[in-house]
Amino acid sequence: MKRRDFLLGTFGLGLLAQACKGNHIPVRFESQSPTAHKLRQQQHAAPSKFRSCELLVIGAGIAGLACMRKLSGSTKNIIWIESEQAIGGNSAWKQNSIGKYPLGAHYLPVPDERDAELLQFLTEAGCITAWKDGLPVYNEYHLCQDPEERLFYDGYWQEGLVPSFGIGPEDASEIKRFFEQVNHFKQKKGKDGKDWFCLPIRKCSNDEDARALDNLSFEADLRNRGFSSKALFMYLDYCCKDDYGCRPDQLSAWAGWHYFAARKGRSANASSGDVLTWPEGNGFLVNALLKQCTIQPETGVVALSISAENKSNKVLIWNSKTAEYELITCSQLVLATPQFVNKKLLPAHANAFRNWDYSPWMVANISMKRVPETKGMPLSWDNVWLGKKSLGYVNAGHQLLNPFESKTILSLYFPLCGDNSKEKRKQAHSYSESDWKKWIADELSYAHPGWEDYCSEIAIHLWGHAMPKPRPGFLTDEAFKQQELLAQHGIVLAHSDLSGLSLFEEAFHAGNEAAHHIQQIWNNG
Amino acid sequence: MDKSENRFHLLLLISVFVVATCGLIYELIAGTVASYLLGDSVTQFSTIIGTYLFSMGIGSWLSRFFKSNLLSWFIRIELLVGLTGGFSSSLLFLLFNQVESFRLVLYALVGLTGVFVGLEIPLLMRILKDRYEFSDLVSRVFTFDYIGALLASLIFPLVLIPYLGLLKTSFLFGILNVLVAWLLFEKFKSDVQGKRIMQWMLIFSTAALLGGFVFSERIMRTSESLAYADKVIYAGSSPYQRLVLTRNNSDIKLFLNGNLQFSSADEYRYHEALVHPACTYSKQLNRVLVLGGGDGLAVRELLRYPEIKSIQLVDLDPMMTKLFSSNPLLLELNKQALKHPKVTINNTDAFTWLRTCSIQFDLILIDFPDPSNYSIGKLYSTTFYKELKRCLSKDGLAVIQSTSPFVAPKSFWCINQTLNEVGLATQPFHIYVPSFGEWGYVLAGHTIGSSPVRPIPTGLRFYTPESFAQMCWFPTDMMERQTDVNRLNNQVLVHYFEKEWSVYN
Ligand SMILES: Cc1cc2nc3c(=O)[nH]c(=O)nc-3n(C[C@H](O)[C@H](O)[C@H](O)COP(=O)(O)OP(=O)(O)OC[C@H]3O[C@@H](n4cnc5c(N)ncnc54)[C@H](O)[C@@H]3O)c2cc1C
Repeated sequence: MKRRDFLLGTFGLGLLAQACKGNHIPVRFESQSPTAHKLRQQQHAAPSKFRSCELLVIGAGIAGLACMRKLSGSTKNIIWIESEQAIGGNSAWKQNSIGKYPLGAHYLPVPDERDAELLQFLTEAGCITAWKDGLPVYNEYHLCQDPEERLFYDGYWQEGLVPSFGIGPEDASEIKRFFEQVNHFKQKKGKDGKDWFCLPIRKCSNDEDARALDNLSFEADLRNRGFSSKALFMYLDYCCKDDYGCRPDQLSAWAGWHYFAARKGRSANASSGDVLTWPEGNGFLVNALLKQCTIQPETGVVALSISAENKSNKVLIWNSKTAEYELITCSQLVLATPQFVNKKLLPAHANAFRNWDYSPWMVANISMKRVPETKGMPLSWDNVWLGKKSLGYVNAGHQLLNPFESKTILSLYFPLCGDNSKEKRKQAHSYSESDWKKWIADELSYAHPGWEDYCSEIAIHLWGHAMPKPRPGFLTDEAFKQQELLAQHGIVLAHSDLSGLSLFEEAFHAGNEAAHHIQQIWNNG
Repeated sequence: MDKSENRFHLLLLISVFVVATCGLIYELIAGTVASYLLGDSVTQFSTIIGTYLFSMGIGSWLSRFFKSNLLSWFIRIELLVGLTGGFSSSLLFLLFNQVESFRLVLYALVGLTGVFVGLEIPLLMRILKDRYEFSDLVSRVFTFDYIGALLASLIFPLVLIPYLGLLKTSFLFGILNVLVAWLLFEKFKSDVQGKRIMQWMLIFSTAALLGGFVFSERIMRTSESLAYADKVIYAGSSPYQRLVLTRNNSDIKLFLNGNLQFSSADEYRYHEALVHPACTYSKQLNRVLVLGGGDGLAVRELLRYPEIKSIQLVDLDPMMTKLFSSNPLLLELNKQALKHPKVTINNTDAFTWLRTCSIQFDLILIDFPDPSNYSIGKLYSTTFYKELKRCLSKDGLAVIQSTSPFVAPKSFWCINQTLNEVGLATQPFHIYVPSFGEWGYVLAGHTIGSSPVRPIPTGLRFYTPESFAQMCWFPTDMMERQTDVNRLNNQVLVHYFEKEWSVYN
């Protein structure tokens, strides 16, 4: 062999080794039930079974669970169905040999102490252990432990999510001014005496000045207020994607400010920015809600269509376990399902549902034997980077208390924010495991070069319709008025997306209100 | 005999001389490395000499099976001796930390070298036997053999070890062995079969050994044994930490991840202060819990109280408790405490254990590593201390090792105030441990009595009831300061600790 050939050979081998790096890592899609496909089907066979009940609840996400929790102990004949095998919807979770991990929602900010219903539930769930000086004391095992957040910026992990190192003095002063504005909005009350920003949003002030913020994009409003710092906008870009799956230029300014100004929960042992979190994410709250329900959902059962007749709704369902069609007749119906599903279930009343644009998301749960670190802050709960495709990852093992365990699961959050969500959705569904792996590798290698050597598995979960984008104008919608019509048929809606903000608090209250509505009907005979 | 014959004989005899020197050197190297790494040099040397001589015997016996091509075989064996001998010390140093049964590797290597060396002289004698008269041959070969041995045993301790060190010496003698092979090869090329292959083997062996010689410094650095001032007598890695024991005369030190854990010269001060104030102030002493402390030294002190009925020890690392229940040196140090029938050992994470614990203890000793990172900081949080309080009987007491109040006063007082925060009464105190410096503890309980309720056991070397008042007195530079409370969601202690110790270091 000539010297040149030899050199070329080793070079080639090196390239090959580089290309094969991480080839051993198994990548899989989280198993998805066959029911989603069933819903898209146009033609269905005739039902072979028939049942009737006083109430049918469709969906066992947070809203469905909250509704059924409230109806616990009812003597009425109630049927509750959920299309997936696992309950929880966007707050579902899973478990592997390393531990539990969330598929979607992973935290709840310390709630507003005036939200009595939510605090009541949190007390029953063991999240609030006592009251001190009129404020709730949160269970220390559930409050996010320190170190909570770190930001990868310029090759270095800094503490917190707001860039503080490597930025210029103008950036720093704009960031400061931005948070002064947030504080101002936090305190602000309307002429009706209500907060400009709070949760759930139906409790927010109807002040024209506040509502005017819904007429323009967050980005436009920020520019109007004289903000232009690149570092600030990078940070806000992250925040908007994190909560709404869209960019500041796509988002209503009202929703943008709401994200910051509505979090003002107080507590005896935590500050307003603190959050409650668990290895399984909000799956913990799912389990806590389910534990209080006296009726359990029938899982793997999908609603396909509804024919609304006066007080006698006929719902066609398909049971994936028995592969049978069934017709359920009910006088009351709660749709704890997202609006895009409702439209398919009740095409005749499609204008009663909101015309949201849902952004797709991918969540990858990455099992690691150890997280190879780079410079700066050590591994935290929320590990964020700016200006990449993904938002960063949450360390699912963060709340565990085993100091020497290095194995953990990282949940990488990947919103697909485009102007055309449909296109993005199609694209997301067309990606193979190895396509996703390439994306994921690109993200992780940014802050953790060499991560492949420690990775044992990647599980991918695709959310085709993860969350609605609160675009400008989202607060005013004609669909609300149509809902009265549905109520006449005994159909009640309960879902977080009714409000436009995909949040636990919205889902929880939507479920509670639906239950309250049903109870009133029953009480009135 | 003509001139060239003469030169040839000289060459062979020089070879015998070199071969003999190398053989003895390898034996000495193995003995030295073994006693450096394993301690107890008498045992190491005698077992290694025994194994070596026995293997040489096997080698001589094996030589009868070599029937033809003796010269080629001799060259091959020279190469093998050179390579195994040359790399032996590096291998031993590098493998010491990696392999489970180091002794097996050690004796296998010694045995292998012995077998090869044992083959050398018989083969050489057979090669030479047609050229010499037998009695003459025997006398010459053995003369050179013994001269070589004498030279080796003199230069090894006087020149080689002080000037070259163990690794370089082995490589050097490996190279000498290979040079003999080169010489013979060049001289008898015509008699050697498979010349090309042989030539490559020679080139390869020389290059490998030269490389080893040049990079021996780096090999040495890789082997951590030299990171410690004293002789490393044990090193091992568990999934949780790296354990290293060193020894200097009678002083044994334990290092966890490179941090000194105790020195046998003064550990009694540390452990007596950890155990006896708490024991003598505790009304009841039936059930005792020890968290951390897998070395059994605190348990040793506890076992001085016959009234203690049971001791539950929770230490994460099974390697630690296993080592301290089996190594004879350590068993002598902890007086076999971990094997005592009153003691139950649980190898699990202390936080999880305490959280699920449903019984109460009269005394709880907490001997965790310092809160130098967020993971360990959790074991000093209000959340942890609430669980501690729950598991403490009505009159029970706990004592917590709380880092140095001199180096890290904020950290020390933060631990004290965190304990107060969960509603425990505390009594902080400190002592002087020469190998650590000024060291602090916090005694905690639902209530703490004002005077001891039982006498100290006999045989203590440091603690007396009278000295306790003095331990509880803090001079100005260690005086109480106001700090935040350490909670899981703020981890202030880790911040304090990092700041204070980084200034000190
Ligand atoms: C990736 C991601 C991350 C998030 N992170 C957070 C977070 O950290 N904090 C937070 O507060 N919120 C977060 N959210 C928002 C989350 O959506 C809400 O917190 C909450 O889980 C919404 O509950 P829901 O009941 O309104 O809706 P869903 O979760 O959508 O529940 C609807 C349920 O109905 C079922 N269903 C749908 N169609 C049918 C049918 N035809 N027949 C029967 N059943 C049907 C679904 O399977 C589902 O279980 C996140 C969302 C996503 C997608």
